[in-house]
Amino acid sequence: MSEMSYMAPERLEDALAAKAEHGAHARVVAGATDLILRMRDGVLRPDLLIDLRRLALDAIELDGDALRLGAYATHGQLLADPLVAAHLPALRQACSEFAGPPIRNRGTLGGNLVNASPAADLVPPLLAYDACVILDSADGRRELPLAAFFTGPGQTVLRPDEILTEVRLPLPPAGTGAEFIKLGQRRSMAISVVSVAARLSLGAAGEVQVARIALGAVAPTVVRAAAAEEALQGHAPDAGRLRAAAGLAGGAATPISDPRASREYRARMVPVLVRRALEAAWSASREAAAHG
Amino acid sequence: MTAPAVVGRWVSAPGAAEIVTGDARYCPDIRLPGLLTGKLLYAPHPRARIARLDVGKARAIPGVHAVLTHADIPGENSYLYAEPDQPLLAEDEVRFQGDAVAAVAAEDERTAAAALAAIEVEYEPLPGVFDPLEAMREDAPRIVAGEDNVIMREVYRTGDVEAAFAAADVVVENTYRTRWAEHAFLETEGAVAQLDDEGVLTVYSSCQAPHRDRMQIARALGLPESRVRVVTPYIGGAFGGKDEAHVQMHAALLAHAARRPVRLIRDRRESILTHVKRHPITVECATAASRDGRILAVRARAIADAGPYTNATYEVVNKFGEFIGGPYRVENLEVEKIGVRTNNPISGAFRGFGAPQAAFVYESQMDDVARELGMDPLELRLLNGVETGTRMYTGVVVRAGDAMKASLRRAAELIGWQGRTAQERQPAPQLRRGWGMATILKGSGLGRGLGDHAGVVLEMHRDASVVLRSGAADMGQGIVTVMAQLAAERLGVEYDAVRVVRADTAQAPDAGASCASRQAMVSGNAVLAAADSIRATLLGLAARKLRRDQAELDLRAGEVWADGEPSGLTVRELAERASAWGYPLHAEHVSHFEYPPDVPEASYRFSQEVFQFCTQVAQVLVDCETGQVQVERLVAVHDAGRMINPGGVYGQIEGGLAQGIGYALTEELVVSEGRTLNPSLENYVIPMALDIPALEMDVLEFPEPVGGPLGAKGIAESPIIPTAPAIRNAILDAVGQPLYELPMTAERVLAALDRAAPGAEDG
Ligand SMILES: Cc1cc2nc3c(=O)[nH]c(=O)nc-3n(C[C@H](O)[C@H](O)[C@H](O)COP(=O)(O)OP(=O)(O)OC[C@H]3O[C@@H](n4cnc5c(N)ncnc54)[C@H](O)[C@@H]3O)c2cc1C
Repeated sequence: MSEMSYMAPERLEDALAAKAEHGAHARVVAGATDLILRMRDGVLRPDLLIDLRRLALDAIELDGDALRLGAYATHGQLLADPLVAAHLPALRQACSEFAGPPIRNRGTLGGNLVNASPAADLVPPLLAYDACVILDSADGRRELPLAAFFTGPGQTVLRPDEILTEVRLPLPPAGTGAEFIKLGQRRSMAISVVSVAARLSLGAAGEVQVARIALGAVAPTVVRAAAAEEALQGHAPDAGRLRAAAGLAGGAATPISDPRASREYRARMVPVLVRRALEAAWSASREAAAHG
Repeated sequence: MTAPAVVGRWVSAPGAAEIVTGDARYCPDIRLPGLLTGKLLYAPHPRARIARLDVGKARAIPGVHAVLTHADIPGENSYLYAEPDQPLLAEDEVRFQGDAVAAVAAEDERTAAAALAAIEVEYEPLPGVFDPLEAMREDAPRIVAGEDNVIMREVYRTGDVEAAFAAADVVVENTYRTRWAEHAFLETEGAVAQLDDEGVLTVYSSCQAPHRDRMQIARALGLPESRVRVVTPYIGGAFGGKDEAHVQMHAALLAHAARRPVRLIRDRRESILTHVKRHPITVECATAASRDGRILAVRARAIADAGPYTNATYEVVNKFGEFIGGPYRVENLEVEKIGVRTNNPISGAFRGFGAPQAAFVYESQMDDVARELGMDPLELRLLNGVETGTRMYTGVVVRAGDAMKASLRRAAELIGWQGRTAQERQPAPQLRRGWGMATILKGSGLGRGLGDHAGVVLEMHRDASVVLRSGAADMGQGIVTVMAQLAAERLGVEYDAVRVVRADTAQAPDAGASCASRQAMVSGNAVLAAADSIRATLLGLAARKLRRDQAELDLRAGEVWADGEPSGLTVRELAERASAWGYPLHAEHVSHFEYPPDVPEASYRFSQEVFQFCTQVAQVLVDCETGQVQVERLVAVHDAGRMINPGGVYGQIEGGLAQGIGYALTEELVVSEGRTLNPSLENYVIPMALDIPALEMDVLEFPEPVGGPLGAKGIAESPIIPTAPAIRNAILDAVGQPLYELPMTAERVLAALDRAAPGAEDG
């Protein structure tokens, strides 16, 4: 077994240069809350660890009509941040139900995305908010919709020479309400059995201008429930319509059985949680519209 | 005598500060010069023949100091909890996923791992037997050659069960299933072994039974016990899972072979895959009752899955049968107890020895009977509960039995049982709230006829400081604290004047295993007796000095008291005198737990007779769409006989409640064809702080006349026992649907709801 090297560069260029040189043999390390487990289980055996901690990639800021979340921002930082609280309540909710305080203080946004678990809790709300990811390499920068980032469990389009530096989200329009619901086997330190994020942005007449529904842990990647979203688009919702849309969400789910839950249970939970998330999002969006 | 000064006081455990700051040394913290890393190679199949085993390449790796197979074991190749049917290292066959095939010791972790990888084993997988019913068939393959797959099959009968069922107004009959549960102790199993220049093998052992470990180590190495010493460092929990030895013999064998100290620690995955689990038991149970609510008879048949080896199956299944009638006056009872070998995970001791499974059955039956009769579950229990003087279905006469109904009444009062119906039962369309109770008894001590004894050595020095040496392992349950308090109490010194030497076979006599809620009782009695003999010497000296009658004197807080006042004469002065004049302030005592000779011939075998009574009441909120259950309130009222260390008593209850919530709702080892699919604490779901409500606890003191010191009974096991049935009955109350399987996962709750006819939930 060979020894492993470690670096904690102070400049992004140096990190990118190392990535360019070592490619897949080098692994970025952020909070290490996923990486350590994968290394323990022998799934990953990097020769070089590139620690992001000195790169100041954890800013959370407003940039015109976009929100920029640094990839190195921890769940704890996101949870405490006033911009997140004001504009991205569903993301905040996901952070508050994320693991427990010690993991939240180490685990990062970027790590949660690049680890690409179908149960990753930050992904459904980020999809619901139309997030984009910024991928940097020595060759330059790419910006991709988050929806195009994941290709399978643990799989993304991130190239071996790239580092995820930032997540960018358009500021949600006035009249937006969103909700995240996590179903786990316990109330903290749980891996989602099913998770759902829903966002509704209402127009002046109370009609749905944007509907986003994202489902976690029921498919190889977090998925959007397009049919359910469409059923809401342009309509002023009522309880019946939300319920009907929730019923359509199941079509997007292709769950599997594992020791946490059976396929049948997961499938059955999708419409239940989607309905609840939509109801909460709708109520929040009407409130936002009234106050906006 | 005056009121106790140290007993009954909240004191902190010796070493509490070290434990909290991380300075306390557990097995993995032990550093010795030249320490090697030990590792075991475990079977990749639940059942396979070993066609070839070649360790040549592993031995050739530089830095590898020993590679052992069964052929290298100088003594007996078996564990010996009960029957010697579990090999330390498999010979020609592996019988479950936790069987070890080879042991290595190497310079470091990596080299040890490389050595394991270089061991060549050819397995011929054999069809496993994973269903106990299948294992019981005549034509089933023998799990252990030459041994019957049925480890035990016994029937206990009392009264006229047939007649009672024939005369019953109501019969409730159900089949229950429980699953494997994992102890999830903080510290996994480990041992460090070192051979010294004099040929003495010292083994630091994270264990519950140091003297039995010593015997097993000596037996495996073919050494006299005089050359083996077992020392217990701090131990991070056990709950029965370290009652049987685990890697102590392997570490010792490796250290002996390598002539270097060896540390062998199981990682979490290995720990979950290898050590014993709570027995899964399938139970058919029928309860007969009269219309006015008297329980007339109980009939049960239980089949427990032992895994391949005997281990504690006899004890567990026997205790299951002993408590299947619950704390009730049941005159007619029949229980058939069966323990069967399979190629599943091995089962064994876990807090309660079969009593939690029994309680899930009998307390569920009680609520089902109450429903059938339209009776309040509390009333039904009060009507049938035992009292002081009741002769149980086991033949045992209950002594401090009034604790049973007192705990029921107090728990009902704390939860507000009478006013509960006024509470909101449906706070949202999909939510249902309910209340459920369970009341249980559990015996303390090994049981009649099993030689339950413990020794202790006590010594007071000339400065009145005290050393107490006991073989009782403290795994965190606090026996060390209790012993120090008892010694301080009787010797009239402050609690912190007593130093307890952590169990070390070279220093202390055998105290037996820390199991069966027995140590506070049995070792506690031994401490009192030893302290009383030193006390007598001190009081004799004091009487002479003060020219008073001994009987008028007392020792308290470092002084001699006379007529309820301090006399000015200190215990220290007495100790100095004793030392100067050559009076020994040294005592050794072996206490035997004596059972009164009042059980009839045909009584239950190995019955326990000192009973921990308790009642727990749960308030739950059930989400009828997701099946999730939230425990909103949990009331626990326990009888401790007499609290020696209240903090310890409450600590045991808190921990038991948390463990009980897990056993009730989420803790399940998912096993398929002999393989555990969730051998990690990510996926074996124990409750965390947010899953546990603020616990509402109360402790009663009904002193046990033939129990432990000052009337104390054990408290270690009872807390986990009623939790699952209390929650089950609360779910039943909330949604109107009974569950018969543990754990009551969200999916199982939904399945129960699905069984309900539409609209029936409001009935
Ligand atoms: C006890 C526990 C509880 C957990 N609970 C939850 C939970 O509730 N919900 C949940 O979703 N997850 C949970 N996780 C998983 C994990 O904590 C999260 O996925 C976390 O966000 C990972 O972030 P990290 O910074 O620790 O990533 P790391 O472990 O440092 O990295 C993860 C992967 O991403 C790569 N990586 C990290 N940052 C970048 C980057 N900027 N650019 C390119 N590659 C990068 C690494 O190379 C590695 O492959 C839990 C983990 C543990 C151990």
